[in-house]
Amino acid sequence: MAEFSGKVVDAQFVDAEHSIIKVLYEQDELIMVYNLDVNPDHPDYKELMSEGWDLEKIAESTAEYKRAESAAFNIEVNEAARALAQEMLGMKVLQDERDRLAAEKEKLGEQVNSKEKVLIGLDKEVKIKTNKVDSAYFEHLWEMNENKEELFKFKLWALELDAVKDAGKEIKSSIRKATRISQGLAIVDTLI
Amino acid sequence: MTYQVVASHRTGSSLLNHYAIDHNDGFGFHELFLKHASTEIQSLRFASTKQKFEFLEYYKKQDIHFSIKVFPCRVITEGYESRLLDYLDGYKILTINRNPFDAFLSYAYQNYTYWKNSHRLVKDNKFMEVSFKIDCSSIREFCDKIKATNKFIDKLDIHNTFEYSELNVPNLNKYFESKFKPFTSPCGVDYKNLATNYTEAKELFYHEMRGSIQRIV
Repeated sequence: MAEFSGKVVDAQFVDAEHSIIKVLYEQDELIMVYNLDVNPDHPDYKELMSEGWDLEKIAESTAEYKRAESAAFNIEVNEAARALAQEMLGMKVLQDERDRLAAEKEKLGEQVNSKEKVLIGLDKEVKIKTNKVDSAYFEHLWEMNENKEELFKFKLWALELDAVKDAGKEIKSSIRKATRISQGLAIVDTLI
Repeated sequence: MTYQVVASHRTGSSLLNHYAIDHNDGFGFHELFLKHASTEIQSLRFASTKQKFEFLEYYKKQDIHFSIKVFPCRVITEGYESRLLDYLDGYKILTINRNPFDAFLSYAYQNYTYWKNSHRLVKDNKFMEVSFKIDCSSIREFCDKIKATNKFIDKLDIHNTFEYSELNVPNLNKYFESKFKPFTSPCGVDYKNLATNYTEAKELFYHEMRGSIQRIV
């Protein structure tokens, strides 16, 4: 059994002659590298083949890696060229761009405010017409009542309250043990 | 007072930590310092070691305490040894004595079976038992981790050291004055009979450990 057995993440040829294979495998949450010769008689080579990594698959993986590497290089070159161009255009261009964006931001802000007013108005109209009160907050709380992450956050919040800090061990313990937010709130409520 | 479990891999630390967390009203974590921590709290699961320390330290200052299980080796490797010592200061530290070779056998078996059955579940008492070959190439790394862990534990003010053989429900319930019902129990596998290269591995293991002060005997 090779040290990479059962843990192979990828395999690529190292050289143009396709005589050495670089095996990437995961161990203890780290990606490790193991190089082996293309030698059909070698046990490690046989082990790799037995895990479905034939030469064609390795060649494809190598090509994919090269393509990704090339793309990353191109992006880097483009970024450098862009930076140089910005510098050449001078601060004037940047200043103009900043002014234009600031004006656009202000305009968009006005649009958002206007839309918000319309929506609030519509919301009020709907509520009046359907005779409904806004219960979204409570519905959300009820939905999250037993959610482990929200319950945990609630407990941390509650345990930091001055009233809880000043309370006895039993109160703190009961808040820690609470299985629902509503249960925890009820305990906090006794302290008000 | 809150307990913290500091131990090596495959020493029964999960079972002990279940009790420690239960003793702390369920406020605690298993292996918080794993890269992807074993917790349902998303924000902590993917937090960095630094962020995890910041979280623990902040709440410790607020007098809000968590029981956690720490395998110190990883934390030390990341350069947080003194921060871990500071965090643990003031807590009741629990650790476990297990024969290091037995711990290694358990680890080697889990590696062989791809950690598909890392603990025996109380509800069905099932545990996969298969013949296996010990991967001797992992001995050195495992021994290094044990040595680093023991060195770290020696720096702590230990509240109690459990013998691995003592880690059973009656003893733990008595110790924690609890009626807690754990859902895992020690695997209890006869690795000696299952391992095809037991003698060779044992010889190599003790050769590797020789010269080190063995906390676990």
